[in-house]
Amino acid sequence: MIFSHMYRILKNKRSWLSFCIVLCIPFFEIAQLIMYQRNSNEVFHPAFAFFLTGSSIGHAPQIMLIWFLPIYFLMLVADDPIQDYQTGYRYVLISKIGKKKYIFHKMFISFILSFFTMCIALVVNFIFVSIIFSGGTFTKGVMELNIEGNALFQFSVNHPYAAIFIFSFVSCFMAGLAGLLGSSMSLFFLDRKYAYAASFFIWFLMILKRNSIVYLFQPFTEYGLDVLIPTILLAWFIFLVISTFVFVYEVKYNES
Amino acid sequence: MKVKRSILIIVLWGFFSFVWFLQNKHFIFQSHLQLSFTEVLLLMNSSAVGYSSIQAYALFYTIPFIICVDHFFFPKSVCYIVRFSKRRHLYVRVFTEIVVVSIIFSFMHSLVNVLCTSYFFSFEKLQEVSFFRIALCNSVLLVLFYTSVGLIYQCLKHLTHQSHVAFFLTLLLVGGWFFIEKLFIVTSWGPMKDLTIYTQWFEEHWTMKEFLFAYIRHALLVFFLFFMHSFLYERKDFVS
Repeated sequence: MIFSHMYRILKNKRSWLSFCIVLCIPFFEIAQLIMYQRNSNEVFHPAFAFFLTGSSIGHAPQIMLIWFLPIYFLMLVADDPIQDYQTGYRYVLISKIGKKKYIFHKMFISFILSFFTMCIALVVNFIFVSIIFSGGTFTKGVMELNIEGNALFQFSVNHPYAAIFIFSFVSCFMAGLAGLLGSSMSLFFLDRKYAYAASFFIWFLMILKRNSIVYLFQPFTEYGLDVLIPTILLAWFIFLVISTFVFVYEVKYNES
Repeated sequence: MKVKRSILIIVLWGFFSFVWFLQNKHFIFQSHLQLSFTEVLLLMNSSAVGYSSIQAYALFYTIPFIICVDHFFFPKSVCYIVRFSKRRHLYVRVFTEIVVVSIIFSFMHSLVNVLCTSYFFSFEKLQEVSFFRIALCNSVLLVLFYTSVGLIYQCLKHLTHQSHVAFFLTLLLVGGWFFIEKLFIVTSWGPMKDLTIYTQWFEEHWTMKEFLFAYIRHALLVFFLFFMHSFLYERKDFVS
């Protein structure tokens, strides 16, 4: 089933479009940084030119990618259960492997593909910034900052590559959760209009709240572990509760 | 449909109220800011960030608006076309629906802003600075702006034949255009630069003439998109 699912996604132009957009958005960040440093002799430090660091003015590429992450992953993979439902393939698969396996499989594939799509986008971005900004030292003054009592910031400044690696892993995990949220909503509503709307509202409320989940994506910020740990735990709790609820409801109670 | 519309309006009300409180709680609950009434009102309705900012119009509210366009009226099935004598009449009906959704959406946005602001500030003071009048002016401009967004969404829907792809592309287009205007078209005019009525009013930059020009520019944009969409609609294949 995994191979047939993968084959279907690979043959889907819409999934490719979404994948290409996720892959291309970080390149706008590189273009903006090249334009920014054109008038000076300074070259950005590769870790500070990295997409997640958000050194560009306005943070446009970050907003366009992170704020609407579930929408990209719904297009890529997570709205697959709706297609199964519309074509009737859902019933074929459920009678073949059982409902529990079907639901688990859809959620698992959405999480994994979303995780790796984000991972590929970040790795490609890192390779490009390492080549383009090779040997650069410009950090926009971040290295000289000293934020008292912020161990995470001090660690990030002392070990910039380790910091971007850790934040990249957290970002990929959050992307996986965005995909999981999308597939949970698709399995629950079985209608694109409701699935897209519900995924967007849940994700967006997490972005708008005081300790936004966007902080989890950006290294070298003033937010310490006292802010980031409760934020990440709350985000994981909410996404996992939603997906567990959908899983239990679909397997135990939904007889359609 | 009545229940669905009621739920939609309640959800919209909840969403706007939630965004309003999140964006403005710093100004209404923190008295140590030492700002004058007009300054607080200006910051609460700033064009850069906040509840009535261009960023919010382009990035926060585009998706809820498209969701409203999709859910507020019955989907147009194949049998729906035979109820109209001409395709043009059906198109006018579709356009009217977009305008109606834009009106509900824009006035709901302003209503939440006016009611919440009136709750925390004195009614007389708000009347003194013509806040209610300016909220109404802003709503009218928002109606024109969201009608354009709705028309773009419908155009893309007809081109792609898939509502979710059109939804995604509209979001990219409006969001992308916001950043293009913000980062690259700094000095010259752009459609989103007009959505700053509150700031222009409180800072006394605009006269009645500028207000009028902003409305005309947006009305022309709606007019242009109306005709562009009508060409697509005339050739729309309803059966496939």
